[in-house]
Amino acid sequence: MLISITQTGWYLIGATGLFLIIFVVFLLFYYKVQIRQNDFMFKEEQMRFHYQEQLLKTQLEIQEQTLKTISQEIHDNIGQALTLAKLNLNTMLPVNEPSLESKILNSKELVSKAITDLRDLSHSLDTDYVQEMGLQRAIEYELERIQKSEVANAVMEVEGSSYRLSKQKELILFRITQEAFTNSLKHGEPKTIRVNIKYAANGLSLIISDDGKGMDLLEVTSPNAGVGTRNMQSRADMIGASISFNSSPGNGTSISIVLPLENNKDAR
Amino acid sequence: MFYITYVLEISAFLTGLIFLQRVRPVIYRTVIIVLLLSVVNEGLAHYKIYQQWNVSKHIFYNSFFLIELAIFSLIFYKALQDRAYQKKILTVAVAGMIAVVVAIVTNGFVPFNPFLIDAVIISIIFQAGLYLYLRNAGQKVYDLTADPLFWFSSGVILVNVFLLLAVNAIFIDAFKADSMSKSIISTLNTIGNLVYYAFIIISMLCSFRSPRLAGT
Repeated sequence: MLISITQTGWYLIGATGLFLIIFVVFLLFYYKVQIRQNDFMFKEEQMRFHYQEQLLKTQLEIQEQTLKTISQEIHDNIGQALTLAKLNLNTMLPVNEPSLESKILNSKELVSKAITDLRDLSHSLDTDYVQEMGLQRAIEYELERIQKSEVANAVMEVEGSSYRLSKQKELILFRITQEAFTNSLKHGEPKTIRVNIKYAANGLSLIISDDGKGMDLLEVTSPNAGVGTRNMQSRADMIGASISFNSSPGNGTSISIVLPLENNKDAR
Repeated sequence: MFYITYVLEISAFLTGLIFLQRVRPVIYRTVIIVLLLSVVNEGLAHYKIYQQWNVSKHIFYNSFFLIELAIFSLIFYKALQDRAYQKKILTVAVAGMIAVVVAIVTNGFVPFNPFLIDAVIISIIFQAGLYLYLRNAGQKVYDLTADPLFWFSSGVILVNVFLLLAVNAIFIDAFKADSMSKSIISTLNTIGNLVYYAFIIISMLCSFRSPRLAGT
C-alpha cells in the first residue's frame, strides 16, 4: 500500500530532519568539549603528580646530602679529635698513682667506645657506604648497632635467594627501615626488633616488627601527627612500593613493605 | 499555553532586572532590553491593543527583530574578546544585516516580511553557533555549564530554529488548511520559547555564580 505524503507532511519531515541534525551537531559539540575537558584535567593531574614526585625526590636528595655531610663531619672532625684524645691518654701512661691510672684507662675505654659508636653512626648515615653494602647488609649493620647498644634484641630473618635492587630503591628501603627502627626505639620500648626480608619471584617483601608498646594508628596517621609515618609512605610511593602499618596499643608494631616485581626491573 | 510562556518570559525579564548588577559578561545585560521589548510586544499583540490602535502588529515585530539582531550581534561580538573571533561574528552579523536590507528592498515595506525574519533568524542562529564553536576553540577548558552565554546561545538556537519553521510554513498553502500541522508547528514554537526563557533565567543565575568564566 502506498502512502501519499502531502506537502505539509514533507515540510514536517524536513523540519524534523533539520531539528535532528541540529540536535546531533549539538551533542557532538558537547561530547567534544567534554573529551577536551577530561583530557585537560588528566594532563593537569599528571603534571601535579609529576611535580609532587620531583619535589619528593629533591627533598630526599637534599636529605641524603645532609646526612652525608654529617657523616663526613663525624668521621673527619669528631672522630679525629677523639682519636687524638685517645692518643693523649696513652701518652699519660704509666702513672705512679694507681687510682689515676684506673681513671685514665677508664677514659680511654670510653673514648674508644665513642669512636666505635660514631664510626658506626657515620657509616649508617653515609649514602655511599649504604649503597656499597647493599640493602640486606646495611640492615644487618643497623641491627648489630642496636644489639651492641643493648637497648633491644635484634633479629634478622631472610627468605629466598637474595638479589640486589637499584641503588636508589635500596637506599629508600633502607631509610624507611631506619625510620622504623628510630620510631620503635624512641616510642615503643621494645624487647626485640625483628626484620624479615623475603626475596620472591614476584617481588621483595620487607617486614619490620617489634614487641613494644604499639601505637594508635588513627593518631599516628592523622594529618596533625608527626612526619614519621608520612615520610615512610612518601618514600615507598616514590619507588612504587606499598606500605602498611599494623599496630595497636600494647601489641607491638609491624610495618610491611612490598615492592612488586615490575618495580624491580632495574635490579642488578 | 500563551500564559505559561508569557509568565516565563516576564520571569526572565524580572530575573535580569533583579540581578542586573551581577550579570556577566556586562554586555549580556543588554539582553534585558530585548526581553522588555518582547514582553511589551507579546502583551500588546495578545490583548489586541495594536488592533485597537489600528496598526499592524507586524510592524512592531519587524522592528523587534531588527533590534534583536543588533543587540544579539553586539553580545556575541563583545563576549568574544579575541579580535579574530570578533571579526568572524561581525562578518555573520553584517551578512545578516545585508540580507535584511535586501529583503526590505525586494519586498518593500510590507507589514509581514518573512524574508526579513528569515534573514534575522538565520544570522542569529549562525552567530550563536559560531560563538559556541569559537569559545570552545579559544579556551583550554570550556566549562559549558558555567558560561552564561552557553545557555543563552543554546536557547537562541533552539527557539530560532522552531521560529524559522513556523515562519516558513506560510509559504505552503496546504498549511493554512491543515489545523493539525499548524498545531504541531505552534506547539514546537511554544516549546522553543519555554526552553529559551528557561535558559535565559539559568544563564542569569549562573553568570554570577561563575564569574571566572564569564569574562567582563
